[in-house]
Amino acid sequence: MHEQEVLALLRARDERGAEALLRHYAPLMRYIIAPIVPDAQDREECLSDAALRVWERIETYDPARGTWTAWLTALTRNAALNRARKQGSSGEELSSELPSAEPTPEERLLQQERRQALLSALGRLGQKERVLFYRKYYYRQSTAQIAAELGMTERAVEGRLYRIKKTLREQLGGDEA
Amino acid sequence: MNEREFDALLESAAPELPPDDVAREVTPWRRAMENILGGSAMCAITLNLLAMNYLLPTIGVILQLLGFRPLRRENGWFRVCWLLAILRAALFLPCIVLNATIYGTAALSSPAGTALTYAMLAVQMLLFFCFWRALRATQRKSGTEVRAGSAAALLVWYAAVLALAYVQYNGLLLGFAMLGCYILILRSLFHLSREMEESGYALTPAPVRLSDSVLVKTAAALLAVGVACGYLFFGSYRMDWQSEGGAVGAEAAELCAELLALGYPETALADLSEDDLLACRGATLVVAHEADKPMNGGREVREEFGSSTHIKTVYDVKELHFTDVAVRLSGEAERWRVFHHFRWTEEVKFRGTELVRLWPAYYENDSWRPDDGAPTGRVLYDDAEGNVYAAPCASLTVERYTVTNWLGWTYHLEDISAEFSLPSRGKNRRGYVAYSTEETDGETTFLASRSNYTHQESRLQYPVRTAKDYSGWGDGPVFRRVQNALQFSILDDGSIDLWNYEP
Repeated sequence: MHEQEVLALLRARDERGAEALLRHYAPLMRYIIAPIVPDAQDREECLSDAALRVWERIETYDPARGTWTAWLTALTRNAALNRARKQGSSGEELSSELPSAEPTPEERLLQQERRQALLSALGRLGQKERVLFYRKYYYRQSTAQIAAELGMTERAVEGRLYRIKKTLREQLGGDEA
Repeated sequence: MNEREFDALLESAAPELPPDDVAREVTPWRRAMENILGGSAMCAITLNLLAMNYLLPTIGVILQLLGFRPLRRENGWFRVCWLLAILRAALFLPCIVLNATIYGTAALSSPAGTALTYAMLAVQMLLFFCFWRALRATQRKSGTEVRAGSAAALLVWYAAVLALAYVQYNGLLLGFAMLGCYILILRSLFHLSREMEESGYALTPAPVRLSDSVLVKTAAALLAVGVACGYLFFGSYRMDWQSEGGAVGAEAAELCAELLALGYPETALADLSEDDLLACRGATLVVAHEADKPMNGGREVREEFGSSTHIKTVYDVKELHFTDVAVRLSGEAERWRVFHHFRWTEEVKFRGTELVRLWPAYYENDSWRPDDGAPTGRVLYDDAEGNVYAAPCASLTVERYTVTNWLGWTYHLEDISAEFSLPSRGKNRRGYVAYSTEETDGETTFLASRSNYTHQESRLQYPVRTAKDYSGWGDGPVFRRVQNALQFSILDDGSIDLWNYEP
């Protein structure tokens, strides 16, 4: 079944859409959840949470903002981060919607400034470095996982991440960043 | 801000949505799949241009290794794929090095070489079969739809190619059809790769001790060193040079004096081995012919003749001196021993492989036949002190073959090939090849014996061919060939009319 068919079923609130979502995209969602939620049982619950949120918020998916895979990735990641925080009881729950949360105006302003600066700095990185950055800081993948998937040694990954961070630190304002 | 705080900042400041290219790129599947498919495509492409038919499969074999390596622990089929990819690399990559030696062509066209080619094809087919099974196993594991028909189609395509190769099919029609099918299958496979990404997320690539880049660099370095060693140390024949200090026996010395008296050129005569001198027992007549031949491209000279321009090639240097000698031997029938001597009068710029191919008197001429005994020959040089060193030819063979001309007439031909390498030291590099012949019908009036000297003048070739492997006519980019001939008529009174033939 193609992506458009799954989306059409989900938008039509057809239960076959939920089945198709899990049949086709559960491997992707598990892949996103796994590095963030360490416990296998929690991961399956998180998968259910994420699937439910996709079902509930499918109307908010805007193809103009990004691909279906990117949207599903972001939503699943937020669900996983929320579950991880709950498990660690260390923070507030992230919004399950995109854009997320309702921070205070000051927080929002600060966050936006940081994001803009980071986005600008990331734009100056090469494609491979950018993917490496996202794997580490967005997908929260371990060095071992990144190394295995990219055919590199862990040491080589650490070395490249170190250089990326150094570049970003310089571009984000040196030691003050 | 310390490292941990900076890490936290990066995590919190990461955008809400990953960029599309990143979202597409972050998968455990794509890199491996692209390596496998790219490698498979390159292994199947035969592009006889700039050694691409060697370069592309080499890259393909290495890509297949890189592709299957992270998947080796995914399931049993992928593990077998990985082992087969190693086996294929172990069979194929040494051939790349072997092709950089003068032994490559002979080795790969031998029965063992043919068996190796079939083994590699069989491994490739087995690899595709296991790949197809591995894809199905992966899809089952992830619970997605089981479809891997493209991989199976590739397997069938390879089987068809193998069958066409076995029957030595040379037609264009089926060839184009197969190429078209192959492009469609590859397109389908890459499409499958995209679809497989759904299930591909379920893969867990295995960690590696050597990174892909290190593996590629190591393989490239090993190949480069192997090929360089092949060019440098196995680009010429091993010649068994021995000092020519010993004096010949009394009978040979006597024969030598007789031949000299009959007109055998002295410098050429001095090169004959004792056995070759003894083979001239009963010599009654000597016919000798000398010529200088260029082993260079010469230079063009334009000459104006009225309104027309004549362009001719002028050779300022003629590096090869030929001395062709025929010795008539006693007996009722005409029996001759023919010697084709050559001598380099200039420094040899490149030392690779050389070939003297004789078209003896009985080549395309039924009036003559080979006399008893195998052809003989050797190569010689002088060191700085004037000591003479000699070595037998690396190979001296008689080859018989049948050819059919454009009129449909069939000939049985026999020629003599002497392969050797010139010494890297010394001077006055020279040698000769000899054979005996006798008449068949008692009415022989003409003897023609030609020598074709092929010289390798450059290393720039891959795969490496010897002067004998070079089948082209005229001058190629690596080899240059000159022809010389000894031709004479035997008149009714037994006297000789020598032709001054300049091919």
